[in-house]
Amino acid sequence: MSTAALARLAALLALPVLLPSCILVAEETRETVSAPCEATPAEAGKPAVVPMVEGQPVDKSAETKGEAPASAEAKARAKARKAEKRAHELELARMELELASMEGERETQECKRKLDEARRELDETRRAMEHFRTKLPREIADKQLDLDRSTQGKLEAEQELREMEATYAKDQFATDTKELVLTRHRRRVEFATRGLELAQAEFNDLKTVDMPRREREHEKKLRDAEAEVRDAEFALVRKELGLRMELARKRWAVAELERPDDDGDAKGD
Amino acid sequence: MLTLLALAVLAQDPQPKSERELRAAKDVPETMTQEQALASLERSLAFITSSQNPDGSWCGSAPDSVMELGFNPETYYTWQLGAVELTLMSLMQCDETPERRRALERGMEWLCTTRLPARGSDWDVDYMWPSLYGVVCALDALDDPRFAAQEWQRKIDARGRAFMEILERSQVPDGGWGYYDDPPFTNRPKWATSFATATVVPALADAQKRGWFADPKVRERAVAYIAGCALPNGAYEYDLNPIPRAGVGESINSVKGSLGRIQICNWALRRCGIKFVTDEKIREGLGFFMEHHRFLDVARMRPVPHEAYYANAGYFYFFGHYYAALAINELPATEREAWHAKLRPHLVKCQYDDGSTSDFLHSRYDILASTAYAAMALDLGLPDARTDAR
Repeated sequence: MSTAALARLAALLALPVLLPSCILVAEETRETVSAPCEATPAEAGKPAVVPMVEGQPVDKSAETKGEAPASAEAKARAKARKAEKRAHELELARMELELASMEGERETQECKRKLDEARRELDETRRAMEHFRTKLPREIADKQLDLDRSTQGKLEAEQELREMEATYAKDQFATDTKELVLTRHRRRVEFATRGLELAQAEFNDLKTVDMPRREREHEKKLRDAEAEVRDAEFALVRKELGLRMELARKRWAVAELERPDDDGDAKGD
Repeated sequence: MLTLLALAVLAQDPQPKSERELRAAKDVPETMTQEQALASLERSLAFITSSQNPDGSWCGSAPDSVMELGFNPETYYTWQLGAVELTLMSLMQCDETPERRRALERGMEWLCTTRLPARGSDWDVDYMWPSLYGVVCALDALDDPRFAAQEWQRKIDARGRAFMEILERSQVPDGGWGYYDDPPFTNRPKWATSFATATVVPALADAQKRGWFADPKVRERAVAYIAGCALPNGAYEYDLNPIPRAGVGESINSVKGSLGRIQICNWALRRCGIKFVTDEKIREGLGFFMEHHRFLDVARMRPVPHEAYYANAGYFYFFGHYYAALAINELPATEREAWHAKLRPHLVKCQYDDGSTSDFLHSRYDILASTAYAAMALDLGLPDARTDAR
């Protein structure tokens, strides 16, 4: 966590302490404002008595309109409340600014991380594509080797069968053994032939189906990875712009609240 | 009824109907005569002599089968070398003709001059096969009067010592020899098998006498390794395990998964004087072999190792039959012909028109090795002075 972020976090932690202090300041301000209109000791110890007519408060100010002390006192109270509210709103606005800044920074970092990840993925995809294209001839060569081995295996099986046939052609006694061994070798030739056919089919499949399909898959992965990077780049820019806008609004609000309240009806935003 | 009678007569007909004796399983009789065996043997040997390369070798060191391309290049050479050694053993064992004599000498010259095999890779220790059979073949040759000349003796002895040196530094800590290694891979491999070890053990006494190795523990540990693989059910473990487990279910260590191993291990231990391999035990093993022979039949020509029932592998077919013939000849002479008569049909029925045979893939090394094993197995059942001496 950065120093700035730590400082902001400390400020947030201090919020519970600062908020009562602000209220205390506001109380003091009210007391200061109301100080010229000191209450009598008797009034000071009693709650203010609000005149009521048929259960509804009676606006005494209307009755006392034109009476300077009462009006001044009311105005002072209203001003004090407004100041208190304004101080509270200012504090909240500052905190919101702080929070927005922190969250914005965190979200920007997350966007950057996703962008890095997307770029890494793109890099890996490119490498995989490159490796595939490098390995392609080797895989074909490997299958060709299998094919050649199967071809040779069939040839050797045929040679062995011919040798066995020649061996037993002279031997008229070992008829059972001859049949057994020749059957074995004929089956070997058959298996070798079938194995060769399979190897040929596998080789053709590799070259005409499997390899093109894998190449297409690699190309799609590459396109997807490139799109992911573009999306991540856009998300980052969008996040940064959005944050700037949000922070500008918050700062404006804070600045508005920090301005002297020349006009009580002026809106801060 | 007449048809059944005719089929019964045909099944007992000792005479081959054509040059090719047997054409289908239903035609395989229970026994075959020595004459039939000899006819088949002659064709086997004709194939061997006719298929020799101009440089004296046979087959080649390049892979012949597209089913066997996963090995180290050196491995194909080791298989060629092993097959050539078996072929030379068959030519030394069988009756001589001028053509066979020439093939034998040219082949022996090639064996003595070709480069020694090397370990193919960390896990692939297949160069044990030509080393194992190289020692056996060289020892056979040194005892063969056709190679009595000093120059032959020098060359063959040097080659035999070289193979023995490979074996001595490759004997696994348990005492056997194998053909693969497990991680962590070490200069001296750690995995062995009963049957690979058994190929050479009977020859080690002779090798030691010739000074090819000094430490008597080499042979003792190898014999103990095979003996340790013997299971109470009559089978032999594929490889020695600290806690032997008689095979259950379709285990390779059940009798049905051990038909070839039983023969070679019984023969090897018997040749080494191990007392528990009695005549009765050899008979029991041969009985298992004949009773459950269908599991060898069905495994033969299967292109994937150990894919058949009880994890039988095709390439043990002729290997097993050759050592069955050797085991038969450990029995009293009066019993042998009956067993050989039962064994022959299973050798002859697999022979191709050109005299060759095979039990696995149609790689030339397998055809050559199978043909050599079959020839030796058939020859062991013939009344030959040298065979009797064996």
